[in-house]
Amino acid sequence: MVPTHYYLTLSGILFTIGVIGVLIKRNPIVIFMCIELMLNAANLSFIALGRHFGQINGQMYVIFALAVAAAEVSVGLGIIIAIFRAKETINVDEVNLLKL
Amino acid sequence: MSSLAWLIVWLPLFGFAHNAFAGFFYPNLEARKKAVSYLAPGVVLAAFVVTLIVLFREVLPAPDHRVIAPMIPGMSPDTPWIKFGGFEVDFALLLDPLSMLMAMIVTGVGGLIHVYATGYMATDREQPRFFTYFNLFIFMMLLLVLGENFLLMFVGWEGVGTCSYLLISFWYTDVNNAKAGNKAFIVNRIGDLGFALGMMAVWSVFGTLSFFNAHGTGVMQLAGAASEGGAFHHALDALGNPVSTTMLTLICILLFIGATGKSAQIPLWVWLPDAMAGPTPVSALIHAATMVTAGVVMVTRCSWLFIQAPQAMQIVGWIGLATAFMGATIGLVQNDIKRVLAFSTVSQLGYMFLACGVGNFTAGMFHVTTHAFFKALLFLGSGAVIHSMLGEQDMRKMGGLKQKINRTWIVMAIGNLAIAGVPGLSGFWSKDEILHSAAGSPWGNGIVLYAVGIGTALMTAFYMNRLMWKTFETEPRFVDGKLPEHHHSNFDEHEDHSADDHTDAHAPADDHAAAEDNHAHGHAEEGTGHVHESPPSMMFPLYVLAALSLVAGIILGPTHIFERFLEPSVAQLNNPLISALKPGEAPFQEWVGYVISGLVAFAGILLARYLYSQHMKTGELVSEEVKANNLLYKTLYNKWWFDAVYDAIFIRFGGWFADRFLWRKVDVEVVDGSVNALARLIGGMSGLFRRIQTGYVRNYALGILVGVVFLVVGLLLQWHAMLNAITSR
Repeated sequence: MVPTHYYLTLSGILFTIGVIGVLIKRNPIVIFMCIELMLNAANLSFIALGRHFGQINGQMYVIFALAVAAAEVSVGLGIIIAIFRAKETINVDEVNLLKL
Repeated sequence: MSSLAWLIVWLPLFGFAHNAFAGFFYPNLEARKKAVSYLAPGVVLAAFVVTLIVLFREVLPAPDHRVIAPMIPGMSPDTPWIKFGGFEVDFALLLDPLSMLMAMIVTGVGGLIHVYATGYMATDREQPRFFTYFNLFIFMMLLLVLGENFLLMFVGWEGVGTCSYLLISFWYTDVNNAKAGNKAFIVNRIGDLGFALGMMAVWSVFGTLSFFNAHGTGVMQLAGAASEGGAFHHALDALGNPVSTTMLTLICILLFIGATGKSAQIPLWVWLPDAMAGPTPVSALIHAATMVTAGVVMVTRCSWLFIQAPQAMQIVGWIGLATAFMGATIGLVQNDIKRVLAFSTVSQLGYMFLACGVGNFTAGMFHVTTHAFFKALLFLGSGAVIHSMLGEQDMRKMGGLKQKINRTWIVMAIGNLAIAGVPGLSGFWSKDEILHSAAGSPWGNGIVLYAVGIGTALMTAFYMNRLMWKTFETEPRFVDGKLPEHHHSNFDEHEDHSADDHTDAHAPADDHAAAEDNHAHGHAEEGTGHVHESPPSMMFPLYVLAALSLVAGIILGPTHIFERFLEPSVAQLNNPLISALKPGEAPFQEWVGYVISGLVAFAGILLARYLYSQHMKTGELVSEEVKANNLLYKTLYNKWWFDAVYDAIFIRFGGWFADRFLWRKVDVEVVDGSVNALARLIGGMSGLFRRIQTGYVRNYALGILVGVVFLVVGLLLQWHAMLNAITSR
């Protein structure tokens, strides 16, 4: 059986890739994908730890996380479309309305 | 039987409202002036009649001669005017002998002066404005003397100050008049601060501001009713504890500071001589007969407090004596006829405070009364002289008026003899009473007080007769019919009149014939053209006041009518239950005092006669050279340098201090500087923090990441430490 810390390491690598993507990418679609990557890294560690401790809770959390992520993506894509209609661009560096 | 007292107060206020809005009711200036000239004196004289009715119908039959009447007819006298928390002030009038006496003086003498002013102000285009202020003054003065508590008195106190200011600067187009008004107002503010503080101290100690009220809890009742067990013991405060002498002294001194402002005592007397810039009826009514005596009235009203504070009494006495002496010395050398009378007023007010200081408040009030008669007479007489001289006030440019305005001379002479203290006339009785009490001062120094007082009386007799000789007896020193350089009006129309028109214009319509007579008479003798007797409306009040100056003293003084009348209102020094002082004994009999006073009065009169009869031509006793070089003369002429010192300290140094230090240093650098520094600090910091907000989502995300890393690392360290602690156990 694959040891639990393999899963956790993979989870950490995936999460870091996601974070770096969010930090350096300018395209919101890619940023979203990176956020999904982070979520799934968290899901992976939930499942791995759930298996490690022999509990079902980890898998239950993942189901919740998937549902919330789906809802979040739909809202996020809606926002992106609204921004595109208003600004003719979805480059996040040009969407800085909160700045003075 | 409801009280009529409210009418006394509201009648002059009605006159004020009518005169102020006369412009709406009457088609033209003539009609307006005619209506005002009847209504303004009318309401005051009506108030006098009501005062008499109230006195005889309500006050004299009442127990203790004391009635608390509501200000609004039909209301209860307990109706609060101001009420919040434990602070309650009633809207009521206190009718007792003291307030009725003052109400009679204010409405009686005031009414006569109103009548006089209808003649004096007849040609002034702003006559309605004048009577608006005059009626308002009467209202405020009545509020002052009739108010049931300190606060109502204070309202009147401030109100008369305002009217004084408005009337001093009545001819405001001359900037000196406006400045005189400002001076009076500002100097009075200093005194008023003392009064206000004294009032607060009274409230904090006694828990009420009433003088007397129906429940026996007024300040004077609390102060007077403390005598339990038949021995003197201090006034009780609201909780029934004895009030310390220190506190009573503090209250009395603060109240007396208020009195020094209003009643022109050292050190706040400097405004009164300048106040003569107003029209002469104003000087007579406000700055001689009524308003300036408010301080004496207030001290007398608070006599129950004063006699329990011996140190305050001493201060009052010494200040009064010093003021009396100083005023008389300055009066010796002044040239303006009204300024002589102004310094005389300062001096006589000093006598009144001397009387209060030695505990004979009744004598002080007696002098207030007789002084109101003869000083109003003298001021109105001087007004008639000024009127005759077409506005000239400088005695150096008068002389020889005795033949030309003989009737004015007669009444002035009566006033002169009365103030000089010729036995039998009113001034003699009141002044001698004061001097006799001073000789028997309850706190010692009786002989000093008496000596300085009698010296002042000698000077009084001299400077008044100097005035009479310079004005009436010596040879004329003026060009008849020539208008003086300054004219008393805010408008230039007078200058356009020829002198002939002027004579006619001065006489009201109904006095036309009399003026014509004088006019014709004037031309019959060469060079006497325009010095003319005043119209009957001005002469009538003079006759009444002359009669009062002659007989009021002898009726009220030696018969003790006045003393017995005022007794319920005034704390008596010889009542050991309420007085901290023992009455002193004068070292001589009363008749000795009479003889000395009489001799002194005649000495002053004869001295003036002797000296001036040798200088009939110039009317001057001292040469110009002496005037320019003699330090004593200059000191007296310049009012003991009071104005110079005040100018140096308060105006020049104070102005410099305010400008260079308070404004340029404290305000600009410290206050503004600290506010601006704070603003700059916040601006600089926000300039720094602003850079954090880049608008790039990834920067914010990085911030969140860093925060999360810190949190996680922190939690891990804490967890690690916990694990170590558990395992090492």
